[in-house]
Amino acid sequence: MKAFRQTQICFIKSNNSITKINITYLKSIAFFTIYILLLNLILKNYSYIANYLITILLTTITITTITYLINVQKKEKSFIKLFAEDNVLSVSLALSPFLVSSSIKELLLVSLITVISKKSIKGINLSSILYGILFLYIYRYFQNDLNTPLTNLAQLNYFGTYSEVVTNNGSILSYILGYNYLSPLISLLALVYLFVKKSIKYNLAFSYIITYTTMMLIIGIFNHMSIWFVFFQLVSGNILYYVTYALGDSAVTPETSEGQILYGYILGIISVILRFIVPETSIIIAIILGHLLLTPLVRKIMVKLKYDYKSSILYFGLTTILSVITIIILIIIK
Amino acid sequence: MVTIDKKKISPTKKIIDNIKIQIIYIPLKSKLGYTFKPLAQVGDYVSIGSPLGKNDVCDLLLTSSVSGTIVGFTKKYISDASLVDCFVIENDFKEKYYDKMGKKKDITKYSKDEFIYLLKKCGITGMSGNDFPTYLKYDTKKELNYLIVNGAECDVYASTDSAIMYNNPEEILECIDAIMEIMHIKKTYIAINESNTLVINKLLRYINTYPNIKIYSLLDAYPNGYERYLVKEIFSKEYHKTPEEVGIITENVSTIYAIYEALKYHKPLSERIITIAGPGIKKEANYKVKIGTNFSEVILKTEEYNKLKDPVLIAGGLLMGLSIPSDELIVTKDLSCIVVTNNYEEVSKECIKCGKCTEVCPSKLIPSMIIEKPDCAKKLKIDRCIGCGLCSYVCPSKIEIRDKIRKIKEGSK
Repeated sequence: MKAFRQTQICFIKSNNSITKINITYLKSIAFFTIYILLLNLILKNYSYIANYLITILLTTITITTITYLINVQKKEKSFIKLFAEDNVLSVSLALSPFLVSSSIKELLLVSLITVISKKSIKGINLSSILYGILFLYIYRYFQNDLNTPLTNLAQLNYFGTYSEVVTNNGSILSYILGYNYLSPLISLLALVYLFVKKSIKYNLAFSYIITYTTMMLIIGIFNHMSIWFVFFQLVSGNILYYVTYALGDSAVTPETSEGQILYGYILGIISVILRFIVPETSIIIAIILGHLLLTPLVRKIMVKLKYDYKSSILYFGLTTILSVITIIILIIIK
Repeated sequence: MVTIDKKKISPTKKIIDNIKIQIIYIPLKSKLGYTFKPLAQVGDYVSIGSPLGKNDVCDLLLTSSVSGTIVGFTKKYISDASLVDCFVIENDFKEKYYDKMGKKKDITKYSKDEFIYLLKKCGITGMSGNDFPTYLKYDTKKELNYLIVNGAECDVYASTDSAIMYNNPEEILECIDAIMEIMHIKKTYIAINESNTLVINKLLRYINTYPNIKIYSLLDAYPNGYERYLVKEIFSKEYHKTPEEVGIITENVSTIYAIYEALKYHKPLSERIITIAGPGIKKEANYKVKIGTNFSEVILKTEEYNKLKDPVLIAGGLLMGLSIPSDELIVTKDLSCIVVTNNYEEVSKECIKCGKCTEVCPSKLIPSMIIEKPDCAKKLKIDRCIGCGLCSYVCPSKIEIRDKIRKIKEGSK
């Protein structure tokens, strides 16, 4: 007779791990960084490159230090954890493009808020950067340093023409390549990469993009805008960047595919509404609202969505009615 | 469905069938929880097929797998990792049968009642991890139109069905034909992994004689042997509790072979083929052993274990199997595989709610939610869990979800 250790585990495991997911995100965000550097190299924007590199360095040092100090408070002194689990490199790289022209004070505050929110929501993706960026927008608004107003409630019925909205910043192509914003094209490639690597809740991201694009398309058509309107709404304001890196954060979004689709659907509607109220920060606010308020709600009805066909129809039906009402209101306003 | 690198014993490898075991242990409780009231006592002489116990709930007999004398009772481990009381029988190797009625030439000439009686008398139960009495499946007034013979063997190492199909293709096909004739079944599909070309080619040589028997090649993924998956994949049908609801019956290859022996020779289910494999086993192979064989004695009769750092013994495959604390493990009718491998325990982290477990669950459960809210387990349909282990397999946080769900399930009973 021979005794064996008794342990009721699954004796074969996939190579999927949190570290692997983090590395996938790091690779995609690193690609983004390289793209920004190359684009500015081609444009001979050397001072921007220097600024950007310094910002990356400073942001990385700041975020790593703050995260390490918080970890030490929790008696976790491992340096490997900082990079493997806390994902400090990805967070720093994702945040850097927003901090290029920031003061040291802004950089410190944004980093601090990002790390604290990351530790609070325990997300594994990069949704924590939203809190830092939102803070930066609000801070600059109160410093009267923001080029565009944070809200344009007064101009709610102003959709703008191509020359008014787009030509001032180049063309749709310059938006797509990311001269003024983070490239939507690269964001889309990163989204596809994360989808192929199965590291993203793709149902959520695609449901969001489809809802947002479709609603904008209908609103545009009824307001006699051409296709540029939809493109502009999709490529400006770093929407695809946030969708790729922050929207589908595992820890704060529903688990089931039905829940994710409904979540993306509702969030798409919220984003469309906010887009006409707070254009600069619409998606940031929408995602934060989604993570804080919508997720608990969808998680509550997730089981019904999965197992009860009638409930599923009811919830999706109600959401469709909401989207139709939104579209009608936005058409009437104009 | 997930593709997993499945290590298998080649069906061409010889089945080791010359192991003679002196002491046989017949458990008084089955894996499904059927307990048997003893009908024999210490000192009684028993033959193969002699009734040792009876379960009145499902009218099921517990029979002896050898001829010899009952020398006592003892506790041994069975495949669900529980210690159960067993009859101890000293084998006299005379292979006497309690009631053998000779060879039947044409096994299609049974009536449905005779068929069901034979299944009951020969103690035929499921042989692929679930020892559900086979006669109960056929004892139905519902019209059965299709038979699925499950030869998928999706778990890692499990290779017995392939060995049976490769070595006994004529017997398997003859038995399927007989079941179809007796039960008026229109068509049969033998489901086999598409990568199992050796077996598919072997069956193709004989299958032309049977126009209503088809081979259905399955995508080689896990858990493609799951009954609900097979019915959905082949017929695009779903059912509530059992496939009989939609006129389909499923049977495992090993069970089909046991039915064949029952129909042809009236032979009780007294032996089975079992895969013994893993890095801890020196002589990996399929073994034909008596039901009630003590695994430790098989190892003693063959070769010792390979030295491993932290070995574990698993009753079943790597994904669905359970760890047993000792090799005093009894081969029961449902046990198709025993693996000795290295312990693979990882430190688990907090759930990141990535939804991977929900995505892969073949029973359409939300495993992460079940372990988060065990009080709502029933509402979350925990009963549907088949313990396939895919949730634990894919979890990036390395949480042992399968085990946690199993404990919640046991607690809720």
